[in-house]
Parts: sequence; structure tokens; C-alpha cells
Amino acid sequence: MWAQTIRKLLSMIPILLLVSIVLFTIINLLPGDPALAVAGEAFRDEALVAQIREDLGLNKPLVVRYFNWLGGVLQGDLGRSLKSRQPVVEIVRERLPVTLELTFLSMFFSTLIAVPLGIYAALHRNKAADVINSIVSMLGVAMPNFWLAILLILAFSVNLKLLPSSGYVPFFTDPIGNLRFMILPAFSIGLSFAATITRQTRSSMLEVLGQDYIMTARSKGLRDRVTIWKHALRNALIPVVTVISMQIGRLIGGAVVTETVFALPGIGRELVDGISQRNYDVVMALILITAFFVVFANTFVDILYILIDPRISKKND
Amino acid sequence: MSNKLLEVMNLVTQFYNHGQSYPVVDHVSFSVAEGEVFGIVGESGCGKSVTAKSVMRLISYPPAKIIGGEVLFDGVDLLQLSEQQMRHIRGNDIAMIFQEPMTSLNPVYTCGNQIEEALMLHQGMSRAESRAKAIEMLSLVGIPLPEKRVDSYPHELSGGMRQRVMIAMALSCQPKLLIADEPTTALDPTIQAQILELISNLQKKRNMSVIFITHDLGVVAETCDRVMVMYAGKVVEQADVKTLFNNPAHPYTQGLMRAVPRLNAKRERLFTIEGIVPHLANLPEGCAFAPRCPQAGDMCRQMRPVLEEVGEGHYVSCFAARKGVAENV
Amino acid sequence: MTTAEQKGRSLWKESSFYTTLRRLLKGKLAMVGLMIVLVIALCAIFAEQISPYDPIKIDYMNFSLFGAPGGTHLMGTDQLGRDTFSRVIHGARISLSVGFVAVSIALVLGTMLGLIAGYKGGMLETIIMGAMDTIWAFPTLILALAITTLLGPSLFNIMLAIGIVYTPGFARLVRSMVLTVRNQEYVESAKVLGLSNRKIILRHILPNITATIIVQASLNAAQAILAEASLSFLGLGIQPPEASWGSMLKESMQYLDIAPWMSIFPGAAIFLLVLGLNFLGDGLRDALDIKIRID
Repeated sequence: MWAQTIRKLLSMIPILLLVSIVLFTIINLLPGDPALAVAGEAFRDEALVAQIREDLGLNKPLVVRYFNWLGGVLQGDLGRSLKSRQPVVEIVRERLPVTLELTFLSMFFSTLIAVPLGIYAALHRNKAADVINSIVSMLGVAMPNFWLAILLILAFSVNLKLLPSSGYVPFFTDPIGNLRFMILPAFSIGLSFAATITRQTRSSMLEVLGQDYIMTARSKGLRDRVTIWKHALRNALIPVVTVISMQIGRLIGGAVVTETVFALPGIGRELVDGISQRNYDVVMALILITAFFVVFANTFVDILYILIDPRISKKND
Repeated sequence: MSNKLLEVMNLVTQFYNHGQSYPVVDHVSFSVAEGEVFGIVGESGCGKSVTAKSVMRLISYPPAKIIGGEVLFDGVDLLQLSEQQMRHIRGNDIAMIFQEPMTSLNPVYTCGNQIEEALMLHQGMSRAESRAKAIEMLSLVGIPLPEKRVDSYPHELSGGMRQRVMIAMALSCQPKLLIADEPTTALDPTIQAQILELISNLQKKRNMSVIFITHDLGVVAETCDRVMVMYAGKVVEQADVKTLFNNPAHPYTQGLMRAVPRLNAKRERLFTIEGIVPHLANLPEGCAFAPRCPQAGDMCRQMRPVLEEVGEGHYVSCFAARKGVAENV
Repeated sequence: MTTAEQKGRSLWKESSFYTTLRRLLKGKLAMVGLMIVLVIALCAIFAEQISPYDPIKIDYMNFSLFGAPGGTHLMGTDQLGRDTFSRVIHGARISLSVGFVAVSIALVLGTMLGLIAGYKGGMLETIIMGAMDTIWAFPTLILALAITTLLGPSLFNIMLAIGIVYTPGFARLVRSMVLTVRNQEYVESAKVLGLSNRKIILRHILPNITATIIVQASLNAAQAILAEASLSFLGLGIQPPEASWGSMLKESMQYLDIAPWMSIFPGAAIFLLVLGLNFLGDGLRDALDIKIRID
């Protein structure tokens, strides 16, 4: 099992390398000259622009620049912001925790609510609760997260004045305050995620309950509770875990958009500004990190499978 | 064959489907004595499996529900028990093995775990005791290296081995009655023979009663003491195995007999019963078999025959058969 | 026999009323979805005829800033006095065309790549699927954002960017289906008969996987529409003054407290269209009895 886990982790490397190549190529093909952006007002000064270009290494061939950049990234040097000359690592350290907290909170609580709901719906198939649950999740899947964010602000901030519509305090400074700022954004992103997970849990639970081994378990005289929680759930969770991992990218994308609605100082605003200002190093670093999380989440799920489903580990060993 | 372990009387199980309801098990009565092997034979969809699951109350509503009858086990009506009391019977006094060994074991738990589960539940064994017992059971059903196999997952075993694990699991609590629902149908012919032999050896060794459900008359001939033939949810004939094979009274049973290839018979075209099993939701008015029956007369198409004794312990539900018997006498 | 009835309960319970309700819902959902999509499509096609005002030009004759819904302005007016209803109607054009064109791009590209990878196998398959995995590794929205910026934020470039992002989904789906279909008897016998690869793909493989592709397309169209709205909402998609639902929402953010209708109606439009496409996709999946899970 350990060998397999390590193999899975190693398989992240080629994907991440490919990702970095694609990313570097796209970003460096972006129209617009970053040297001009840096020069700003002084853009008419040819010599200065040339000097800046030289300093930034923009004159070197793309391949050389890629390896320079990659070398830096591997040593933890993500470059500097073209605007503020601040090291990108610092920006990341400042901004990433906010986005990660938001993503994690919404994923954690959505899963916590959605999986039991899906199980409950499956066990009470076609009862009132199940049908209501189905309707709510159908609506939830179609809800654009930024619109939901706006509606929540309208309801809870503008009308009821219960929760703040924007702002942020770090969790370790003021945990309660932090959660007050986070609850609406987390809910905005989490709803469609939760809806997807509920639907998947319900359908895979129903499928598993129809399996022969459930009949076997019941024929042994096990309690319904044991049959469901021991024999059905673990099998039913396998496809649910897949769906969760496939949604991580969407969740991060949702976090980026929703942050801008609530003016949260996460990577979202930084990314959007970075793109419009041609702030290469910042944009590359931020996208690379989000891609890393997606790849890591998928790998993590692959490893999780080995724990849940013995068929996988034995097949590959 | 005196002590009746199981006595089923007028069992009715109804199906509810798309607003329709129809009986899949229609007033079925039979009994199984201690140490007896009782066969239930019929084509797929005749209600033999549902009969067995009704005995264990493993029927799920929807789509099916037991709506009448009595199932006396050791003198107690199982249909009157609470779910909790019934759970105590399941896996402990009555155990069941199923047709599909490939899917009947839970893929995410080891074979040992699945055997131990029942032992800890019903026999109150500790983990260590139940594990030792599981290994003993695995060796009893002829699994090589049981100490190793106890930690195997189902997918690591062949179909025949898995069916042996199922048998080990079913017999672990020393049940008085084993219900085997087509236990060999999904297996290769050579493996089939081994599994049959295993079940029959264990049955003799433990003087256990067995209900053997199958569509294969060859299996019946080899294993059963008494047989019941079902068609469209009803019992059409019941007799001891010798009588049934030597003197099948119901035209449907006769048809089944002639559909079995024989080595010693002259090479002739294998007999087939014309037509198909009618859907239970719209059975014909008279005898359900009448549309396919070569001997059906007007009466058969208008009235439903009832089960009547035509010889000692030989029951048939057929107008033509009764007439035939009467003429012969 | 009442005790048996009560005690013979099963692991899951249901009543016939809700069973019927669910079945009705399922059966009708595809129809409802189709209706929603059709109505919005008609609005898009006849936008000029339906919308009472110009969506972009400012109406200086009857100037009313932040007019509440009702009267001559069904959905109110915005910060420049433009009619929200007219802008929502015109926004349908952008959303629908993005949904349609982007998914067509993804479908054609993904199906071709998936067919080649699945049918040819070998080195080609490794390269194609490697490329697809790479695209897959990016959060879709963020990659679409980068590509759109690279190409410049025009309508077609947005479509292209979203199309590229959704290509791996089709490629993976098609490849996995080709792998299962490839070894089936009718394909084997076509090979034995000496049919060319192209003919086998066109005549035997493609028809067998069309249904699944169609369902995937209708569900992905909903995702594509959401993606465009997100890009425009971030200000990196359709640019003002063009009326796109996403960019309208972006503008509305500043006036939440005084003109909530500016955000409610465009958002509701996105929601409805996405809902309709999801219903259609789910309904089709049930109707066509497709077992493969689609995401």
C-alpha cells in the first residue's frame, strides 16, 4: 500500500511539469509588454524600457526563461510583482490562506451536510423529505455562486443587517469575526457543491442497497443500521469521493469569483488585477498553485480509494 | 421424516408495480422435515425465489409484500414475530446462500470479517473466537490455506471459492435450515458438482434441513428427498423425488422432464414446452398453464384447479392429471 | 396479517403518492427544461422585436435613473437609465451563443481526440490523453480566464477559451466508450469484413456513443454559460456597454442597496437557463437510459 501511495504521489510530477509548461507558454504569449507596464509614465524613455527589459530577462529566449523561472519556483522563489516589486512568495503567503480557508470551509461543511442528506433521501426514497431534497438540489446545482452571493448580501447585509457584506479578519486574530465574514461566501460556493454531492450520494446509495451483498447481510440477521452503515455506506461512498475530487477545481474557481463579491483579500482579486496589469510572475504563481491543489486533490482521492476499496490496491500491486 | 421443522401454509406474497398488484407467491403450502432436503423447481419468474425470501422475511416493500399465510418454524409463526425476533432467527436458525457468488459478498470487507460478523452477533463470540471459528469453517468447506484465505477479499477468489465462503458463512452458526437459492447456477459445470457434493455432505453430517431452489431437474434428482414444482406463483405438483421422476402427473412437470437431455435415451429432438411463462399481472382465467398445455380442455381454460392428493404424499393441481389417475386406477 | 405487514418492512420505505410525484417530475422535467430553453432562445432570436428599449443607448427622452420595476420599465432601469428588461433579453443572445458555440467546439474537438486516442491507442493515445490531463489539472474557470486574456476578450475568443477548457471532458468520455465498444462483436465483425478504420468509426462506433455525447453536451452547455457569466462578472469577459448577464451583475454590485432589481433579474435569467439545460440533460439521460456518470 505504501509503495502505491508513493507511486501515486510521484505521478503528480509529470503532470505538474506539463502544467507549468502550458502555463508559462500561455502567460508569456499574452499580448502587451510587461516592461512598458513597469515603466509606466516613463514609457517614452526607450533606454529605460530597454533597461527594464534587460533586468527582467525578457530578452532571453522563452525556453531559457522557462527554466530560469522553474528553477526559481523549485527553490521557493516565485519572482517579484512587476508593480510593487514585492516578492510573489509574500503575496501568496498573504493571500492564499484566505482562499484556502474559504474553499476548505465550504467543502467541509457542504460534505458534512450533503452526504447524510443524500443517505437519508435514499433510505426514505420517494417520501416527502426525499422529494423536497431532490427539488432543492436541482435548484442548487443551477444556482450561479456569484448571484447567490449577491442575493445573500441583499438579504443578510442590506435588509437584515445581520452579517457584513465585505471585509476580513484573520482567523487567528478573531475567530468569531473571521467566521462572520466567511459564512456568506462559504455558503455561496458551497450550495451547488452540496447539491451535487447530495444527488450523487442518494443515487449511489440506492444502487448499493439493491446489490446482492446487502441481501446477504440482511440474511445474516444484521440490524438495518449495521447493514446500512457498515455494508452499504462504504461502497456507496466510492463514487461520491470521485465527484468531490472532480469538483475541487470548480470550487477554487468559485472561490476566486466569490471573493471579489465580498471583497475578501484572497487570490481572486490579485489574479484578476494581475491579469489585466500583465503582472506575469504573480499570475503564474497563483495559477500554478491552484493547479497544484487540483492535482493534489485528485491524487489524494486516488490514495483514498486504496483505503476504501481493496479491489484497487490488490489489482495494481 | 416425521418432525416438521418448517411448515408453510397458504403463503401469499404480492407485488406492487406501476399501480398494479398481483400475487407472485399464491397460496403456497409445503413443509420441510428435520434432516430433509426439499426441492423447489420451476422456470425463472415462477416465484420460487420469492417463496424462499418470504420464509426469511427478506422481502422488500416496495415492490413486494407478504400479505397472508403462516410460516411455522419450530412451531412459531415467523410472520408474527417482531423484526428484532426475526433478526435473531436469520443467519442463526435459518441461513441462506444465493445464486451469484460474484456479487453476494461485500467487496470491501475480507471473507473472514463477513463470516465473523454473524458469529459475534448470534453466538456472542469475541473477535478472536469468531476468527478461529471462521478459519475452521473455511477449512470445513474445503478452502485450502484457510488461515490465509480468512484475510482475503472476495475479488481475490474464484467464483467456486466464493460460493464456498458463502456456505461457510451460512453454516457458521449451525442453522437448522439452509435455504440454497440456485447455488450452482452461476458456476462452471465441474465446480457445480463439487459445490453440490459439499452441500449434501454437510447436510448429512449435521442432519440439517435444506430447501434447494433450482430450475435444474438433474440437481433435484441428485440432492432432494421431496420436490415441489411451481408455475406462475402456484404449486402445481408436489411429491417425493422418486414418484415425481417415475410418475410425473402434471403436464408441466412432464414437459420439464422431457426437456432434460438423457444419455441413455435415443437421440431425438429435445422436447421444449411451447410458449412462454405468462406475466403474473395478467394470468389467463383458468389454469395458468392451460395456454401452453397439450392436454388442456375447456374446463382448464375456465376454472382454476386446486392442489389435490393423487397418491400418498403426491399432490397435483390439474384436472387432466386427476382424470388420468382416476382412469388408471 | 397486519403484524406481518408492519414488521415485514424493508430497508427503504416509500409511499405511492411520492413515488408517482417523483416519476411525474422526472418525466416532465425534460419537457420543462426544453420549454425554458426554447422560450429563452426565442427571446434571443427576436430580441430586437421583443425588447421595448435599446439595450445600450441611453434614453435621454424619458430619462430615469434606477427606476424601480413596474410601469413602462418591467424590470426597472439601471445607473444610466437603460431598461433592464431589454438588456436581459439581449443578454440571452450572448449566453445562448456561448453555450452553443463553446460546447460545439469542445464536442467536435473532444470527440475527434477521444476517437483517435481510443481507437488507435499506443503513443498517440498517451500524447492526447496526457494533453487532456494537463488541461484537466487547471481549475476550468481560471484556465478559461487565462486563455481569454491571451486571445483578447472578444465574444468568439471567450467561446474558444471555454471550448478548449471543456474539451478534455468529451475526449475522456468518448475514449472510454470507444474502448468498451471497440471489442464488441459488431465492431469485431466489421473488422473481419475488412472495413476501413474510418468506416468502422463512422458507421459502428460513433452511432453507439452519440446519445451519451448529446447528454454530456447539454449538461456542459449549462456549465459553459456559467463560465461566461463568471468571466464577464470578473470584468474579463464581455465588456460593457454590451449587455451580458455576467457584466450586468458586475455593474449592479455597486448599487445593491438602492437598485436590487439590477442584480435580481440578470441573475435569475442565468439561473433559469442553467436550470433548463440541466433538466434537459438529466431528462435525456433518463430517457436514453445512459449508465455512464457524466460530470
